[in-house]
Amino acid sequence: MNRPLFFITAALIFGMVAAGFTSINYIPAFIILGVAVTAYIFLNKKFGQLVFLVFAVFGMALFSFQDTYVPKNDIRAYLQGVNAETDNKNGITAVKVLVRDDPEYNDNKTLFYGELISVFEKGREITGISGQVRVTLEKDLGFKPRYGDILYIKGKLREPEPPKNLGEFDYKRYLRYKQVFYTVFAKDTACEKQGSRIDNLFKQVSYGVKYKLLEVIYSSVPKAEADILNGLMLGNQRVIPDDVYDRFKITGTVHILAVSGMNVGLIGLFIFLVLKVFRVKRKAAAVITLLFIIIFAVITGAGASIVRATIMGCVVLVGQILEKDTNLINSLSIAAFILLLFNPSNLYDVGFQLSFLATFGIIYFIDWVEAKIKGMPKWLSGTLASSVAAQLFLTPVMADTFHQTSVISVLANIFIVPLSGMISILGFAMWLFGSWSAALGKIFGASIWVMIKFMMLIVDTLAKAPYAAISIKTMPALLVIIYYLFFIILPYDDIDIKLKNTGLKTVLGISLLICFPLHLLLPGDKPAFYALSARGVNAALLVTGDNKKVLMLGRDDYKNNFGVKNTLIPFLRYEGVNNIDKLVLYSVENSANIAALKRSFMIKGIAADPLSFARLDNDKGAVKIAEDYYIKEGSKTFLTFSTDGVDAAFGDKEILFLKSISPGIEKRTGCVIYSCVADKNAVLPLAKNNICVINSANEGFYRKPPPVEADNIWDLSEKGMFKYP
Amino acid sequence: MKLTDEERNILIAIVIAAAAGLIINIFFSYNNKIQATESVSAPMLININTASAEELDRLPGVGKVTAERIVKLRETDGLFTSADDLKKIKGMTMKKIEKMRKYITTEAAK
Repeated sequence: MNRPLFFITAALIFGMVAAGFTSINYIPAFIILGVAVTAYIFLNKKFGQLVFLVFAVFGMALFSFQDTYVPKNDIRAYLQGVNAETDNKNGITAVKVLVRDDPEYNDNKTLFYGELISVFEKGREITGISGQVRVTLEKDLGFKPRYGDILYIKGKLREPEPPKNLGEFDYKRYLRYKQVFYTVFAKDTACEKQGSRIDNLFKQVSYGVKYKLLEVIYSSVPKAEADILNGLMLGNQRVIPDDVYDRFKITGTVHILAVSGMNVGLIGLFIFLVLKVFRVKRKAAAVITLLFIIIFAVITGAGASIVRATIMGCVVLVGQILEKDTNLINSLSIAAFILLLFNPSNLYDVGFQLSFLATFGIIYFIDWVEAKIKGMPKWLSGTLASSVAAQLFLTPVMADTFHQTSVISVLANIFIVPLSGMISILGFAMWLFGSWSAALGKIFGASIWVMIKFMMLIVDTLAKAPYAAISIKTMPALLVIIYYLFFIILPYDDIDIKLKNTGLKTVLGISLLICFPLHLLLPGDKPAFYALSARGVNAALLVTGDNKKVLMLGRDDYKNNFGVKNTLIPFLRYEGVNNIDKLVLYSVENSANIAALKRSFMIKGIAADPLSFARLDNDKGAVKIAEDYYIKEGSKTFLTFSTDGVDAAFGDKEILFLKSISPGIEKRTGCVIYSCVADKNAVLPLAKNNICVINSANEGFYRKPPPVEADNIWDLSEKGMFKYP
Repeated sequence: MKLTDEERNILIAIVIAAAAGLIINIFFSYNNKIQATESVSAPMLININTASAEELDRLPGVGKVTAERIVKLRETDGLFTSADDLKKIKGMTMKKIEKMRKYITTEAAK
C-alpha cells in the first residue's frame, strides 16, 4: 500500500458517514470499538482490514461523541427543556460575549462568532455559561467590534430557524456543523464594549496584519475594484455587490473569490521568489514561507478550504526542509484527517466537500485529461485540464447544494484563472511596496485596476450568454454512485464483468449517457401553485398544466432583496426552473429584485403594473397592466391580469394572486387566494369561503406582527411554504 | 541566483506592471479615481447641530419626542457646543448623554 494515509482517512470517513446515518450515542460507539478490535485480533490476522476497522469505528465514535455530548455548563444544557422556538420563551434578554474571531463587515451588518461569558435572564446575570453564538449587529451607527472585545449585547438568544421553503439554505444545520446552536440579533446601538481579552496573540497579530493589508488595498485601488481585490486576495465576499457575485456564479468562476489552494500556492511562489532575490537559503525560505501561509490562513478566517490548502502547503514545505518527496494524495489525506479530527462535522460542510472533491479530482484526473488535449501550450492545457477535472467531480455536490451548474465554466476559467492569478501576484507586490510607500502602492494598484476591469468585462460578457448557468435538480443516489464510479475507473482499462463482452466502464458510461440527460431535461413538475415564505417580498409560482411557469411578485421591500436572493431564486433552482414563461410584477419597487431574476433565468415575458413597469430596464415585449386584459396560456390554464392581481383557472379551483383587495372579492368561493395585503381584518372575510395565504412578516423586516390565527388562513411566516394541491 | 522560468516570468510581469502603473498614474489622473474610503476604525457620527429629527432618533436613549425637542432647542437657542448642552432637554439625563457621547459630534454646520 503506497498511500496508507489515504486508506486510513477513507476508513475514518466511512465510520463518520455510518454514524451520520444512525443516531448512535458515543458510549455504545466506544464499546463497539473495543469489542470489534478485540474480536478481530483473535479471529483475523489480516492487518490491513484490522486497520480499516479500527479507524472506521474510531470515526464513528468521534462523530457520535461530537453529535451527542453536551458539556454540563453549555448553554444547551442550561436551556434544556425550555421551548426556545417562539419569541423569548427562554427568558434571556441580553448576553455577554467574547468576540472569537475577526468580524465580517458590510454596508448593513457586522457578523461574528462569540464565546458566551454570561447571559442575563430577568435582570439577573448568570455566569459560568459556555457555548458559541452567531451575532449579527444591524449597522446603525457604525460601531465596529474587534477580535478580543468583550461585549454586552441587548438581544434575544434564539435558535436559528430551519428552512421554510424548498431549496432554501439550511442555516440551522450550517451553524450546527460549526458547533453553534444559537444566534443573537441586535442593532449596534444595543451593543456596549465592556473590556477585552486576547486569548491568542498570534491571531491578534495576524488580524493587525490584515487591517494593514486592507488599508493598502483601499488606498491604492478605486473602491469598486478594491472590493473585488479584497474578495480575490482575502476571501471577503461580503463586500462584493450581489449582481457582481451572481455573474461570477453564473460563469462558474466564483471559486476565485474564495481563498483556497491557488492563493496558498501563489503566496508560496511569491515569498520564495522574494527570498531568492535576497539570497535566502532554500531551507530558511521554506520555514519563512510556512509561517506566512499559516498567517494567511488565520487572517482569511481559517475555513475548510484554506486550512486544507495550508496543511498541504505545509507538508510540501516540510518535505523541502527534510529533503523528502511528498505525495499529493497523502498530503490531501493528512489535511482531511486533521480537519475531521478537530471537527467531524466538517464532513458535512459544503466548503469542505467542494474543496476536497475539487482537489482530489484535479490530482486524480489532470494527467488523463491533459493527455487527451495535446498540442496546446502548457499553461492552457493545464488550466483547461484542471477546470474540467474539478467540474466533473463537483457536479453532483453542486446539484445537491446549489441546484445550479455553469455550462460555460470551462471556457470562462481558461481566461479568468490565469488572470486572477496574475492579479494576485501583483497584489502581493502592491502589499510589499505599498506598506512602505503609498505612492508605490498606487503604481501597482493602477495596473491591478486595469486588469480587474478587463476581468470583469470577460465575466460580464460570458454571464450574458443564454443558459450560461442552468438549474439542476439533486441527483438520485444511484445516479451519483454510477457517476463517480465511471469517472474513477475512466483513466484505467475496462474491467470485464462477463456481460455479453462488455466491460464495467462501458456499462457505466452508457448508463450515464442515458440517465444524466434524462435527469436534466425531464420536466418533473406537475401543475401546482407554490407560495413562498420570503422576507421582504410576496412571491408565488404557478406551474400550469402545459408546464408553463408563471412567477408572481408583489409589494416588495425596496430596501432589501433578501427574499428574492435567499429564498425565491434557490427555490426556483431547486425545482429545476430555467425558463420563466411569464414574470408578473405588482408594486415591485426594488429593481435589484427584477435584475437578479433576469440574470438567473430566461424570462420569456413580463407583465407589470405601472409602478413596477417604471423599474424595468426598457425590456422588449414587457406589457404594462393598466387595464383588464386576458391571456390564454395553453388549453388547461386561463390567466387574467388586472390592476388588482392575477386570476388563474386551475383545474377545479381558481387561484388568485392579489396586490390589493378590491370590493366584491369576498364573494368569491372555493378559491385559493394569495393576498399581498397581510392585514388580518381585510383577509378574514375572504377566509370564510376560500383558502387564504398571507405573509404577515412582510410588514416589517425585523418587527414581526402577531401571526394571524384563523381557519383557512395560511400565514407563510408561521407555517412556511404553501403548496396546492 | 538561479531563477526558474516561472520565477523569471513573474519578475518580468511585475516590472511591466510597475511601468504600466506609473504611466497610468502620471497620464490618467489615477489619484482622482481612488475615493476616500471609510477608515476601518472610525464609526459614523451624528452631528447634533445638523441632523434631522429622524437621524437623531437613531441615537441610543433618544426617541421621536426627544429628537424633536433637540431640533427645537437648536432652533431657539442656537448650535450646541458640546454633548453636555443636551442636558437642557426635558427628559435628558447625564447617564443618557454618556451613553450616546461616542456617537455624536458638534461640528458647526457649514
